[in-house]
Formats: sequence, C-alpha cells, structure tokens
Amino acid sequence: MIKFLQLLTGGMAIGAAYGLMAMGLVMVYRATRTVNFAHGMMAVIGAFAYTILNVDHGVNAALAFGAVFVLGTGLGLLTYAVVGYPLARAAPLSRTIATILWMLVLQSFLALVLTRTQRIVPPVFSSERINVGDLAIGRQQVGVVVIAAMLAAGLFVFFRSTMGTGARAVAENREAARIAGIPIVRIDMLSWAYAGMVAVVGGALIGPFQIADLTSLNLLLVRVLAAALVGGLVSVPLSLAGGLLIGVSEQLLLGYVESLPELRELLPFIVVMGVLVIRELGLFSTRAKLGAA
Amino acid sequence: MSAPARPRRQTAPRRPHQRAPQRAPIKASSAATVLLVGVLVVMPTQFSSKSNFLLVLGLINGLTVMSLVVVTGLSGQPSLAQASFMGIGGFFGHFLAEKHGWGFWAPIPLLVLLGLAVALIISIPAVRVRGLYLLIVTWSFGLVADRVVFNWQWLASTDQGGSNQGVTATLSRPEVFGISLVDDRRWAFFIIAVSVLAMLLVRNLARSDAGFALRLQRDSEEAAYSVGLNVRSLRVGAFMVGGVLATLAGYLFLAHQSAVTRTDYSQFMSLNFMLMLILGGVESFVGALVAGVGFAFAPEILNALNLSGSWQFFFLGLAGIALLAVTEGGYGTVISRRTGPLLRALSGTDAAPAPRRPGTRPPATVKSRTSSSSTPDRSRRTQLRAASLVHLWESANGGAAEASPRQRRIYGSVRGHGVEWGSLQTPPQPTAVHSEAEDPNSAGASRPRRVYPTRRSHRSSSSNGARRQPR
Repeated sequence: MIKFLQLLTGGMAIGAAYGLMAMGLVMVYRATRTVNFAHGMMAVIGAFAYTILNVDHGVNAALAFGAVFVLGTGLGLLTYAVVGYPLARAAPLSRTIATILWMLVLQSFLALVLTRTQRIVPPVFSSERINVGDLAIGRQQVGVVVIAAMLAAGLFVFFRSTMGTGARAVAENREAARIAGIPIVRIDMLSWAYAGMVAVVGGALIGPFQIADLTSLNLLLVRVLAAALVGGLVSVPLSLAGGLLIGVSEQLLLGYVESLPELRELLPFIVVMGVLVIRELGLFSTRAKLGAA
Repeated sequence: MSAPARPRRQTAPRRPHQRAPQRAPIKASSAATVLLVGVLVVMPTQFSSKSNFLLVLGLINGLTVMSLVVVTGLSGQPSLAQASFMGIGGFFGHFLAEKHGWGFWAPIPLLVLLGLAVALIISIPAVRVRGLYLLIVTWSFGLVADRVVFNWQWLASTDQGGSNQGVTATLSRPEVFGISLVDDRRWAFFIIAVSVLAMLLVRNLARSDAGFALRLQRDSEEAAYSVGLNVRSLRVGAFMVGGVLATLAGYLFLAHQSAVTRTDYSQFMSLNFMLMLILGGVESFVGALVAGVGFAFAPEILNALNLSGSWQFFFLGLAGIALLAVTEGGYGTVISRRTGPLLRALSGTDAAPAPRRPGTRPPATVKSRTSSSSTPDRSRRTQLRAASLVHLWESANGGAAEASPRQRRIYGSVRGHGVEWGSLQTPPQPTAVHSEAEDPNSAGASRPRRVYPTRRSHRSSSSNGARRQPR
C-alpha cells in the first residue's frame, strides 16, 4: 500500500509536469490549429538553462527559476516571430511542419552552443522529503504540482478576462473572431508566449526526475502530445487530467511491472491509439471539436 | 494532340479561345528525370570510393523521401515514422537474412508484407481526419519502434548482452547475376538502378487513376466523396505504399552500411526526412532524390568550410521554414508548379463539410465510367473529368471562384457558408467539361468547354444560382 501511494504521488508530480506542458500545446492549438512540435525542445532549453544558471553560474534557485519564466516567454515569442507570424495565413499543417523544422533548428542550435549535452538538473525546491506517516514526498514533487496548479489557475482566470473571452472566441472560430474585431495577432502572441513559458518551466521542473539530455527530454513531447490528445487538443482541464493519467500509470508500470520497462515507452502510443479509436467509435464528447483538426 | 485516328477532331477544329490541356509540367518533369538519370550514371565513374558511399547513402535517403512524397505530397498525410519503417526493414531484414540465413533476396517479400501490415495498423484510426492526427500517431509510433522494437534482443544474431545501443543488425551486400556488389562503384550502380526504377514506379502510380484519386481527395475531400471515392482507403493505401517503400529503403540502408544500430533509424532521422521533403518539393520525385543526395553530401561541404555539422540543420531548417512562409503553405510553388495544389490540399484541412444545398446531387462516379476504357490517355481523361466534377460540385455549393476578392476577404473561411473560401486562395485551373452532346468516351480532349475560371468581380450571391453550371 505504501508503495502504491509512493508511486502515486511520484506519478502525480510527473503527470502534473506533463499536464503543465500539455496546456501550452493546447493553447497554441486552440488559437492557431497548430501542433507545436518544438514544445519538447523548448523543455530541453528550460532544463539546460536552469542548470547552467544554477550550477555553472551559481545563481540561487529562486532567481534562476524566475529567469526561466522570462526565458520561456521570450522563446515562445521568438517561435511566434519565426513560425507563427510568417505562416499566419498558411495552412495549419504547413505551420505544424514548420514547427517540426523549428525543432530541428533549436536542436542544432543547442548542439552548437552546449559544451555538455547531458546534465544533472538540480531540483528547484530542494531535494528534501516531507514525511507524512510512512509516505515520503519530495519537496520538488509538491512544488511541481503547486506550480502546475498555479499556471492552470492563471489560465482559468485569464479565460474570464476580456482578452480570454477573445481567446475562447478565436478557438471556436478564428475567422469569425477576426471579423468581429478581436485582436487575433495579440491572442496568438499570448498563446505562443504562454506555450513557451510552460514548456520551458515544465522542462526545468521535470529535469531532476529523469536523465536530462537532448534526446530524452525532447521525447517528453510524445507524452505531452498524448496528454493533450486526451483533451482533444482543445480542452485544458482534460489535458491536465491526461497528463496525470500518463504520469501515474507510467510510475505504476515502472513500479509493479519491473520486468517490462518497455511498457513505459509503449504507454503514450497506447494512449494516442486508444483516444483515436474511442473517438472513432463515437464515444468521445469532444468529437465535433476534434473533427475540426 | 495529333490524333489522326479520330476524325471528329478534324471535322471540329479547336476554336481559337480554347486552350490545349496543359501538358508542360509533365514534360518538364520528364526532362528533369532524364537529366537526373544522366548525372547519376556518370557520377559513380568519376567519384572516389567515399563519394560513391555518400552518393548511395543519399539515394537511399532519397527513396525514403520518395515514400514521404507519396504519403505527404500525394495524399496529404504527413508522417514522422519513415525512419521507423526503415528500421523495421533493417532489423527484420537482418533477422531473416542473416540470423535465419535466408540470404539477401528471399526476405524481401516478407518485408513488404510486414511494412504493409504495420502501416495498415497505425494508419487506420488516424486517417479519417486529415493531417495532424497521423503526425501524432506516427511520432509516438516512432518512439515505440526506437525504444522497444529495435531493442528486441531476439532480432540479433549474436547475444549482445543488453548493450546500450540496442541490437546491432548486419547484412552483407548481395550478388546480382553472379556479380558481387561489395565494390562501392558496382553497388552505386545497383542502387542507382533501384532508385530510378522505384522513382519510375512511384511516378507511374502518381499518374495513374489511383494517383489522381489521391490528389483529388487531398485537394478536396468533399469532392472526392462526392464522386464516390473511398477516401479512407485511399489514404491508408498511400500510407501503406509509403511504408513499404521506406521499409525496403531501410533494408538497402542496412546492406549499404553493413551494420546498423537503432541510432541509425532514430526519430531524428524522420525529422530530417521531413526537412528533405520540404526542400525537395513535396510532390517531386526527382526533388526527393536530389534532396537525399544533397543531404548526404552536406556534412562534407560543411567540413570543407570548417563548420560544425550542426549548422546544416540550423540553416536548412530555417530555409525550410522560410520556404514554407514564402509560399504560404503551398510550399513547392517556388520549386515547381506541380506542387501548387498542395496549397489547397493543406489549407483545406479544417474545412467543415459544406452543407449540401437542397437539390444538388453529387455527380456520378469517376471510377465506374473509366474502368472499361483502356486507351492510353485514360488517366488523362479521368483527370479532366474528375477535375470538372470537382469544380461543378464547388460551384453548386456556393462557387468559391465566383466570389469577388472582396467577398472572399469578408467571408474569409467562416464555416457554414458553403465551401471554405480560405482554402481556395488560388483560382482553380481552367478545366474542360464535356458538353452533353458529345459521347463522353471520345470527347476527352477534343472539344473542351471552359467553365472556369470565372473571375468576374462583384457577383451578388443571387446571381450565383443563375450562373450555376450546365448539367
């Protein structure tokens, strides 16, 4: 039982980070119908930037973490400037392919800039553990959940503001929103900035839980995409739930089916196929929205 | 257009305003093919062994890019799993050819079946909605292949005791008619022959009725449905063809490298193939081979310039984005006019199915009419007929081409207003429609009547109905 709880809390922390990053994907998809394939590479940048600041330059954790927020926003805006704006009138699929190429660009940039491509990412919230009965919960785990909850709440509040109403309108029908005078450029910028921020912050937060190198962090994208797909790429709460689902089941699989570590890698594929098959069978309520992909 | 066997054409000469059906793109592409083949045949005789090695590498990559041309260019379904298909060909090829001692040739039919089966399974749930879902599915499948399948120890011929790189697959080069291909130059000639053959086969597919049907569903899904095409089967079929092509390319890649590990088929490679596809032109088979070869030599060029190999993807990635941006999603309009329709293919993706107006019936099917005919220009006629059906259908549903620029700007692509005009920013190509008086089987190109383009501005919506196409 204690093992189960231990795995559950660990899984929830990782899942919260997946969900956090999935929210960024969802925001961009809602606004521009683009799947941002550079999301994972942004997470890599977050993890490495935080490590370089904190370890190599001795900036204290809080300050470095704050800097990561700023960096993420900047990176999101840069992505908007390179991919989002020039291709604003192109087809969604072209933009998505452009984000794939942008991922390649970012990756080669990192390969040029970084001297070491594998790092140990220090935890933002010390590695101490809080004991609740027999259960030991890492501070980092609590921190991830809190940050994810805060950013999700921020989104919740945002959606109730004037600009957020505009963002919801854009998600429903971009052209009609534009005709109605909603500043879609600003909403695009906000969405990309938010996506960059959560990707980079998510990368910095999840770094301590796994091997941090260029490929394995980038491949987080598979799980984040699966999480976002649970929410049909449009629903923020559902993609958070999807992130938790994937994180928890991943940890449970690791903990209880130790003989088959491959299951962890299979999981995102199973989730993706499962969602598509369920959608196919017509059991999914967001089917209409999904159809608009 | 010389057809002395058909007296009708002589008795009814073409009127001056009628244009001959456009054939120029095919000619240009044939010239490019001949040029490419010529250059390719000369290259190995002039090259050093190392350059030949790179040339073959490039051609094999080109074959994979060609599979993407079928999947993405023709059918409009982007895939990020082509390197995984290559890996399937490589590892299972090794399993059959080396571990079970089947030799080089015997495993090929089984690999074809394997490629077909895998492509079938992963594409079925993804292709109903165009585009993005197949990207996500193929991307997550790539992870499975990379991390799970290519680590299966039972695929290896020797016990490699959980090495970090996964399984190492090996394969020796084959003999053809008793000639060993171990020599790099002979091997290069063999691969050139294979690639050119593959290119001609795939291009033949692209020009067949099936190829046209693929492009039709890509350019207008609704039109494809309306002429009775099974859109889903077409997409799955294209994905299967692409899967087989990539699988076999992976098998050749293994023979070329003589030993590979899973890093050779990583997901990163799939991204590279996507980049090569964009830079080579999404619908160009020659471009696919050229891009593949170019990418193989690029590190050498950078090396000569004392630059790190990472610059390759930095610059080419940005170039790809710029190309996409410049051509506004119709990437390839810069490279080749033939790729232009992809603009509509890709931008039509999120079109809500246009509500059919009462009284408009979907036109008769393309398939049933042409299946009996076997004249050489059969596919050409099918093209004309299907294209005209597309435009008839579109005009019956609100006439995208009849909207003035201002109307198009105002309505943009608001859903529920008939055909999504945002998807038709380029005016449709002039198309011929057979007049009813003529026999549909011989009328093909003889007396085309232009119904498009109708670019008159400021047509009110009420006159749309009056100008509806003749039935």
